[in-house]
Amino acid sequence: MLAEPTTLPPESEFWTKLILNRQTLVLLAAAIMGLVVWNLTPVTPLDENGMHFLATLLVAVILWVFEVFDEYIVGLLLLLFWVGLSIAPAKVALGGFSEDSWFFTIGALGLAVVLAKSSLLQRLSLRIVGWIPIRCQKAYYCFLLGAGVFAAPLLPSGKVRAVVAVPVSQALSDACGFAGKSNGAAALSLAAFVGFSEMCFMFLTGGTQNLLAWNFLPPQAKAEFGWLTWFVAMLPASLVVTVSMVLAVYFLLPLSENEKNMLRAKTSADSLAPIDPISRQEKVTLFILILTVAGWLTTSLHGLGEAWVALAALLMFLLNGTLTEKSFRNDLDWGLIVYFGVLNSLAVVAERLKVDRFLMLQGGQMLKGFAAEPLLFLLALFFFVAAVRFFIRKTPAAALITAALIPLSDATGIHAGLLVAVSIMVGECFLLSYQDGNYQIAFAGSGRAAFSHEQARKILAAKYLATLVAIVMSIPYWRWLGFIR
Amino acid sequence: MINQVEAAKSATGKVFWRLENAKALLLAGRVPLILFVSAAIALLEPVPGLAPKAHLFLATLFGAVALWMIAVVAEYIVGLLLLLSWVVLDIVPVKTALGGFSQDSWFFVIGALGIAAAIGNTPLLARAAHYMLRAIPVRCQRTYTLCLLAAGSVCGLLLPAGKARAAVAAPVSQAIARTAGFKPRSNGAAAISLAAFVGFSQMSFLFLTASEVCLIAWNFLPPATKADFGWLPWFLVALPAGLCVSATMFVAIRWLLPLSEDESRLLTQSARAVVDELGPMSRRERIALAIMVATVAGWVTASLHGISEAWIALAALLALLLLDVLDDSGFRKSLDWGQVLFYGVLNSVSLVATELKVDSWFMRLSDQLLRGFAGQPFAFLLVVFVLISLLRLGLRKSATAALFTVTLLPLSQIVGIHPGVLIVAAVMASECFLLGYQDGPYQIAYSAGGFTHAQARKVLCAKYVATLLALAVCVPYWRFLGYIR
Repeated sequence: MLAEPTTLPPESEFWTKLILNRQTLVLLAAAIMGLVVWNLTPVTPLDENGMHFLATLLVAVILWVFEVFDEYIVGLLLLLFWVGLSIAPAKVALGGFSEDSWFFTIGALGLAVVLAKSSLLQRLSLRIVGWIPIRCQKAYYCFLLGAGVFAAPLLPSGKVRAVVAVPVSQALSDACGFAGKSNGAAALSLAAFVGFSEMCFMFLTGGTQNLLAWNFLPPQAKAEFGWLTWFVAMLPASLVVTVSMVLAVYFLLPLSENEKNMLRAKTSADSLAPIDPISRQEKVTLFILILTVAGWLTTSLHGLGEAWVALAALLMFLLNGTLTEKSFRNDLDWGLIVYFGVLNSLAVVAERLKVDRFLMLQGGQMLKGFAAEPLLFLLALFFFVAAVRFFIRKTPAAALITAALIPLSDATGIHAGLLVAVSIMVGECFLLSYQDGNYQIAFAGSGRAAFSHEQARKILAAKYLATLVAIVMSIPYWRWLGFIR
Repeated sequence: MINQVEAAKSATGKVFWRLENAKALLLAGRVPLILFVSAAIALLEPVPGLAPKAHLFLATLFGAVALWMIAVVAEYIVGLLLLLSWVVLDIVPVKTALGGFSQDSWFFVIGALGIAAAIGNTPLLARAAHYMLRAIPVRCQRTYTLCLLAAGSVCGLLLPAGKARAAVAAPVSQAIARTAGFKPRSNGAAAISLAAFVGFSQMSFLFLTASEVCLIAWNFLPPATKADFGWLPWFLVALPAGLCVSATMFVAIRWLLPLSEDESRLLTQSARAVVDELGPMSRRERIALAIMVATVAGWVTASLHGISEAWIALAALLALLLLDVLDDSGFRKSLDWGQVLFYGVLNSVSLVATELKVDSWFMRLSDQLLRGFAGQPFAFLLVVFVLISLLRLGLRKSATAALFTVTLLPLSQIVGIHPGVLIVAAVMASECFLLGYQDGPYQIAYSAGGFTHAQARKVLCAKYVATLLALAVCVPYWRFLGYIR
């Protein structure tokens, strides 16, 4: 017979809690599933280490989904297992930390801290509130999603757009008086995030992965499927996704009665209450920010990557004292920065262990079976890309999937350019935070205060649905354009 | 009369204000000068035998070292500027510039600093000091001097920050002096305070993880040397030197700060020390202690199990995080992340230097100069000791370590001394100083009021002699270990 829990001394209570809580059960289940995959016979081109990598990834995904530990702790455990169990050499396992995208994260989060500390965003949000009445939340969702979609050709990096968008949406949320992680705040931030960073597929120049995949096309297909053709082909799909996302944000994150009352009470006049004139320090901040955005816009001219522009901006802020050393140490989310490095490494290790090639081989075989019917083929492509994205990041996935799809273009009667655009559209859907770097930046850039993972998952699940509907609805249009025979 | 005094005060204040401003201006004025000189070096014709990119690299490194020397901005900001300059000037590919972040030695730093943050959050050190006070009668002043010297040295394992250890040691030594009945700044009080200060903050060279200076210097080593010269070899190399310095300092303190007649009488009268109880050891403390013991055991036995120190440190950090000894906020805010980035850049310096063949050029250059020292390791170490002692008059410990390691490493082959031994000797020398301004931890110890500058100077002079003696004693031992040819 068990002793009364209430009479347990603190020490025993600690160990009992440790053994019997939900976390331990999830941990146990994850370990068992991991062990099963670990002991499976490797399938070509995977070797034993490849299977072991998949096993550790499965355990990590379970721990991330059930939020057993903080994300970065799971990330560090993953790293330790890769090296400790000789799945990958230390140099490869740590490879993600020597990618410039990792430095971009540091720069971007530093800029987010500077923005949060200045009143510049507050000023901007008050200006927007002056244009759109604060009670028209749906108009805000449309505005943020729409502005994001059309910002893509200007700033062809989803990460950069996430850096710009989420603080603006947070300032708007503050102007509306929404509490952190309330449905109101989450709706605005997620509308901005999806619009600015997850709708790159509308323009050929909307994201680096678009250009990368497009470059894989044969010269004739490239000539037929240029910037304008891409835009025309993807316009209806983009409209469907945008409208669906406005509805999803509105219905899945409904405002509470309190929030509605607050919005009713807040008049435009209140919101536009004057604030102090812009200070010299803020002018300097604004100047550096403008320089930074100009640097990002002109990367193709000066050839300096976005990461280094962001780092230069961060250093300028550190040197002129806008960002203090204390703030740099305490206000940046270093746990998340470390986590981002591990996620980068995930892609490096997956490539090294040929996990990507294994997925493409399996996928290519599977897709061939659906080549006779375009609708079925596109549906199969949707599920295939969605599955691949659980293992591979957006950009490498785009390149690999394109390489696997181009040979199937003739058999399916679907233009290779369209196949690329559709696979990129699907590649922009994800569900779990580890799948997307831009999401990490949006989440951490808001100081983890704008939305919770749970709120985000609802919207991200809706995006899968919206994308599927957009594909199905676009098929007659694509047939009419002649891209489907 | 009062007005005159006020006026005089105000005039003095103005003079000080002007002096402060003049100092700031002087410092600020040196930055453009350094940048100008660096640019001028970069624009010069490359030295024969040096590739243009290697020449540029040396120009940037000159600028960085000069900025580290004048310490106008934090070290890591200079480090990031250095990194940015390599990328902007296209000195090396991004992958090489960031290569330092994918080395396990960089993760070792994260692990070690994380462990330090966790241990620093527990009262383990204070408890150890209190146990000592309870265990040893205060009249055994010699034992106390010896214990403080030894305990301080060992504390380097627990708290790898000289300043933090000085902050712990100062109140403990004060408590002992008070309990013994010594007056502040009497020879008795000074002997105990200075023994604690030297032991706790000036013996960092004993362990690789005992101070940031050791880690900075070690991070400059090439990856292969780092793998050979880990935590245990460092300790084995430094152990006799540590013992020699401790023993000499024990004798020096007794001899230079003899007890007066009154103090000797007081000691015979004093009873056992009565100190505040900290209560029983908490669960967190026990876990922290167990993990620390296991970590040190792991480091000591690295050659047996073959797991590198970095992964042992990471495992310990994860254990501390998972068992709540270090919480999420502690991980994000207690670690000096600027310093962590700085270590990554230092790692990259050695990689970039190797890639650009700067190290072999430097060896060729200094070959003639140092050939005379071949077979005379002590003479070489003596020259290094004198140069470092001179440089320390104007440079901080970490900058001296960085500068000397960069300069010394390529010479190690010529003089036949292992680079690891050179680093240990350089750190030993850089821990000697004479004047208060030269050392941060000294300021902390002095502010506790246990000793005068005059008393301290006697003991600090003795430390120079003790260090020289230790170097002389260790040369045959290092030769026996095979670290000196």
